[in-house]
Amino acid sequence: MDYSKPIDSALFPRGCERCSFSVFSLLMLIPTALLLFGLYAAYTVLANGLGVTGLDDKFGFGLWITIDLAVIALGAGAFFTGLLRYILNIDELKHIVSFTAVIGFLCYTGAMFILVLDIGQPLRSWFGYWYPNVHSMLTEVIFCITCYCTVLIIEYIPLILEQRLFEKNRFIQHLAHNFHVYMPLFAGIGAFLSTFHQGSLGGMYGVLFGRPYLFRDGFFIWPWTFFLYLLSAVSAGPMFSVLMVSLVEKLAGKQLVSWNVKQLMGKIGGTMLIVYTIGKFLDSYAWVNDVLPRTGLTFDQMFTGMVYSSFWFYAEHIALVIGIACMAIPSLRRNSVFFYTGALVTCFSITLNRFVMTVQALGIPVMPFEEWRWYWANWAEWGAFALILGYAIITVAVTYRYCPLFPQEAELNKK
Amino acid sequence: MSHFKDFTIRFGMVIDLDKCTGCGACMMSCQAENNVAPQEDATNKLRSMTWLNIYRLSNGKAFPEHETVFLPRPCMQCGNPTCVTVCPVVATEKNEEGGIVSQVTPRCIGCRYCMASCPYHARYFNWFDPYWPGDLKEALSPDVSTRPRGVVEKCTFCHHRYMQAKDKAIANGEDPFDLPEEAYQTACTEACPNGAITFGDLNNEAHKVHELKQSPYAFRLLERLGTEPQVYYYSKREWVRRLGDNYLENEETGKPLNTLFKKAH
Amino acid sequence: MQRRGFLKFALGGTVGLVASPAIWTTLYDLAYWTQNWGWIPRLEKGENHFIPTVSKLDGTPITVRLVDNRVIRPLGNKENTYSKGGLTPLAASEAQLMYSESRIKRPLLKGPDGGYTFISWEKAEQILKERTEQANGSLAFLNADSTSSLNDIFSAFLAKNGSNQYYLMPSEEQTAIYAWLAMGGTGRIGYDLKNSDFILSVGANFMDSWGTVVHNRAIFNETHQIEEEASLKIAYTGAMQDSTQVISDLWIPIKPSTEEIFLHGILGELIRRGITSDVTLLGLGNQYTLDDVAKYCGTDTQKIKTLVDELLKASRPLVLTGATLGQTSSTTSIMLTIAINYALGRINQDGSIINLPMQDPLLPQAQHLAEIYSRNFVSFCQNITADDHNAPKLLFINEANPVYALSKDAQVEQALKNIDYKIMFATHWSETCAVCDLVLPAACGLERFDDVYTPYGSGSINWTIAKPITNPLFEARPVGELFIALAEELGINLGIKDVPNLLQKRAASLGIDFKKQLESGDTFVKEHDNITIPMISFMPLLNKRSTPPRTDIALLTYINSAAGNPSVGIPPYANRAITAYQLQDGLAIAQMNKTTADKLNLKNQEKAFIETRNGKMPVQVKVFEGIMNDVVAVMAGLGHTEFDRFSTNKGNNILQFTEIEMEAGSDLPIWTHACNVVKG
Repeated sequence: MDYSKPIDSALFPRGCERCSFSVFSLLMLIPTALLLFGLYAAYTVLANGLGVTGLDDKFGFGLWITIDLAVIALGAGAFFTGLLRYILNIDELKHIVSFTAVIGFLCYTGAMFILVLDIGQPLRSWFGYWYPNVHSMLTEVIFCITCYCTVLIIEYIPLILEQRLFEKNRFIQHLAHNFHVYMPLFAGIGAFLSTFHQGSLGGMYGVLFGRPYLFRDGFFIWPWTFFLYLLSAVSAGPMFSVLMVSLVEKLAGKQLVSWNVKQLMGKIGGTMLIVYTIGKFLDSYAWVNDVLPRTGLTFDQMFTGMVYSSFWFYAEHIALVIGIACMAIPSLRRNSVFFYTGALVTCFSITLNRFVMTVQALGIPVMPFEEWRWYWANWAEWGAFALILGYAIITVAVTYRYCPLFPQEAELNKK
Repeated sequence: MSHFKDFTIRFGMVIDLDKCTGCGACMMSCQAENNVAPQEDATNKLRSMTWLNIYRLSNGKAFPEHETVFLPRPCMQCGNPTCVTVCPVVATEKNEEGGIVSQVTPRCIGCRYCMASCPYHARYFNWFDPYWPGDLKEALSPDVSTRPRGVVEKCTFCHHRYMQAKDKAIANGEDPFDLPEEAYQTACTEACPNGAITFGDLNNEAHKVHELKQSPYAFRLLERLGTEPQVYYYSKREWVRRLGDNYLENEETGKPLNTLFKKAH
Repeated sequence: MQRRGFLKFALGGTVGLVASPAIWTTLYDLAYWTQNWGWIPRLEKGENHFIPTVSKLDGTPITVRLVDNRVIRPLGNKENTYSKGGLTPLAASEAQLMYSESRIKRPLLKGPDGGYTFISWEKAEQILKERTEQANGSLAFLNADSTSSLNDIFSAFLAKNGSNQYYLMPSEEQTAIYAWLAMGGTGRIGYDLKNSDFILSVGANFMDSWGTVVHNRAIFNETHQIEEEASLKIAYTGAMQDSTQVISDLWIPIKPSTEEIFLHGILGELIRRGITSDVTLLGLGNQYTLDDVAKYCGTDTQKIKTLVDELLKASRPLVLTGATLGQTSSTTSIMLTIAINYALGRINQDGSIINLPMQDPLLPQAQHLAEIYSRNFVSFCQNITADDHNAPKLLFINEANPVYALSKDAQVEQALKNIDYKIMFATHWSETCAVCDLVLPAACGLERFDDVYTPYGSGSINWTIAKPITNPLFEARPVGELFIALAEELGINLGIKDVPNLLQKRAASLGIDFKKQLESGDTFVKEHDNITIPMISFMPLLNKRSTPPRTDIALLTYINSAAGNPSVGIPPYANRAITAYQLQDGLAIAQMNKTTADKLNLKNQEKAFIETRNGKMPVQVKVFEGIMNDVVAVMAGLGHTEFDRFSTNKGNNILQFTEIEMEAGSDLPIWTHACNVVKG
């Protein structure tokens, strides 16, 4: 026994160093506190009803749906990287694909957990399967998200199986091997499911013809928000994964994924971002000049005050242009400052998009005699967010500490 | 674009806004008829269950040119409802003769997607469990089930009264699909001391609403969105009719150049 | 196990499970189970009964639905010729109010520590008897309801105990009876809205809070059929766009408290148009120039002229005056109204002011309404506060809630303190209950025999019987029966054996069959005969000078007719009908227009205080343009401190802050509109 090494060092991935167990435990107190606060908030919601939140009859959707939509878009790195790695065989991505799967897993399970809180009757959540309405985009979302969540669990399992604890277990070794062999299949299924539910999430809003801010038709296929959501997810997903890698690197104090791989992710995300941005600009143009006038409303009527200011509308668009500049122009992309800025503004733009389409869309008076309404998430809603944040941090930390999350780690940190 | 069937019977209302004074008799009757739980504090109007809500409309001018009108808003029972297609669990449907948009509260999972879809805010969520303190439970009508927390509910045009009227017609050997106007009336219609609400089958020439809805003074809320409401309003004042929908500056009241699903040629 | 074996097992298992009902039955059970929320009430089926009666809350004829013996709710009575099936929001709440948590369940006796203990009815009856005997004629009675024949029982009981101190809560009816009698009327003043073709209402919100509201609404409905030409025109002077304003054809908003000046203006203009040659009337017509009238009232001369044009054009015009809360008019303004109607030749005609016969008391020694109204409760309280020697030893209060409903100027609380013993009969636990020594649970309107006889504002003699449709809940008892029994105990013969017996007498006095009337639930209506036109004298008006209001800002208190009354608090369902422009963030809303707000240096949604000589009441400002300059409107009916969870924690009670002045001559209280609004 080497007493200079942490007490749990026998469980670390081969060739990787970790901080001492006591330091790790102390650090984990922070996310644990978040988790406990979140659990209390969740308990309050489940025990008393959604009345304890800041939601109301006008803002039936609020912070939680915004978070769900945002993390599902940002977690799209999992399916998209999986698709590129396993189906299109971009081999370099193998260095990051496990991590994107973990991020995806956390985003989706987190979203699922929030959804359990968000629906009024969690015990009936499976009614989506039992009494499905085939016309509803949400039915489609329920199907795909739950199925895809299973896929993500399957993608996460091999990481655990590769734990050093199981090195000696032949069955687990075989199982892990088989998982790898069949991974392209799951990646394919994941890509299929994700494409649909990312699209359907956009479709959910695009079909709402009672909401002039959201409704999108007139193109050869509608709601075209279906494609915008998909494209925004595949743009932001890879970038968010890179941002998360870099965050873990910062916290761990070492490089975990090579710069080349990150650049590749950025390049992929950037390419998709160009497609999305073109779509988004066309969408905005068509919305302002075609959809809105048909509802009898004008662009100015869609915005008011600070929170619902048109500033955010412009910010969302400008951020995309900045994102493209940083990611698609090779010289800028190679500069780490521009690279990370690009990734950040892209994620910001997509998150903002989910916010305005959820909260602002509901705040706008549609009947001419209505007033603007404001919504503020309260502690119970932020608490649920804290819960998934705490849960995600702990999961990433534990996985990183004990599982071979970054295949390049040992090599990049050789002394 | 509607994939909803054309019903032979389509119940609807014509509400005369020139007669409504916003007294609230309809609201009170509605709550009692439909076993809505009372609320200690209903000052947050976005948290108070008002299947039938009354809006105070203003012509937007300053005193003394200002005018006020009260507008009662039940569920519009849209011919092309935004809410029905979006419900993931078929908890709200429009598939019964009579054209009333149903709400199956025992099946509702409380996702509130229908509320997000409805531009009339006709749908309400049970934020907490309903509570009838003391003996208030005694006054519960046997006609309408109480609802738990976490589900969405809304005006049903007192659908239980429709069923009772049909049952009665069958028992009397009459045609349940050709009810006379007075056989089925909603609680709010009955209660209105000013007679501002007229209720009946919009398709039935023998019913007053059939004629009234064709009046040049009749209009519907947000008609251009294509929801096809079955609730009509009536006012001789143009500003009131103009407040019924969103109009671009160059558009005449009641004559939008485009509607959401129909572009001008 | 071999791979093949495993696959066979897995496949067989799957097929077996899918084919067997086990999964599906379980899932269905689960689906039902998730719908099963045991803690929300289950519905109880039963047989429906519909019984016609009348709501004692506001005189609305209703049909009450019962399921087996449970009262479910009141509906409008379609068979009733008076209401035509209409319902008011308050009457619609009657069942909830009957089951309310604030119902008094058993007799309550105040202990030396100020706390209340439940006592038996035997004990309560004993106290009632002893206290009445001990009072030895020094007793008084306050009742809330002027429409009930039970007044005869109470006032006769009082008289037989040697007291004439019988009071009704102050109301406009009191003012009107005074004015009408002073001018030579021989009975009660009636207003025949039904047959009029042009109603000028000076401040009376007759669609909501003045007169026979449900009947007025039925008249409006009949004369305003959709898609038809209206057969009744309405002109209104209320300062705010309220229920009556929104259906009026002509709106001439005038500042509250300037009604007298406005009426002078109308009269003057009519005289200038040569409408009358009556010499005394001519003398009244020139107190103010039209310009002055317009200036004081906050309107313009052209509007007054147009109004007079319309009055002259109408074939059956009716002018009536009232205040939003039905308690603030002066006798002068009523007299001026009578003068105007007289000038127009509109006394005892179809659709005019009617000289309704004053009802004779049904019981020996019971008091005439005019006699009862010759005393007023405000002076009673003020006198007792001034000198407790004026206090009776015993005060009975039936269903009234003066502690809440009257301004601090009336000094009710101090007066009640000065009275030795107060016995309260109440359906609900009110602010006044809380200062009484013995509180007895009274049967509510759906639990007792009672009636509604010709409420103020009627144009005809009308009568509707209220009958018990269910046994009193808890230990509540009908107060009428209680007094009949008490009289018997004290050896007093009231001349009736029970309340139905009293109602029979009423039926006999009207010449109708009691049983038929009771069963039909209809309102008996006796139209006036327009033969006897009383001699109207204008002498009482001659020496009256009207003064412009004292303060620049006028306080307009109004009610939300859904939101209960002082005796029952706010009905459970009514909270939803209290609007965002009436109550917000725990504060009553003061509505005012932008010009007024700017003048007061206030902003929308800002906190402020309404200031009167009775103190400062916190409010929230809301800008509403449907209200005239310099007028601030606040809803009355908020700020309860007793009753139940549905009534309390709702802003402040503006009624406490309003100012009362005693009118010179009549010595009757007038509610002024004086107030200031200051920044919060």
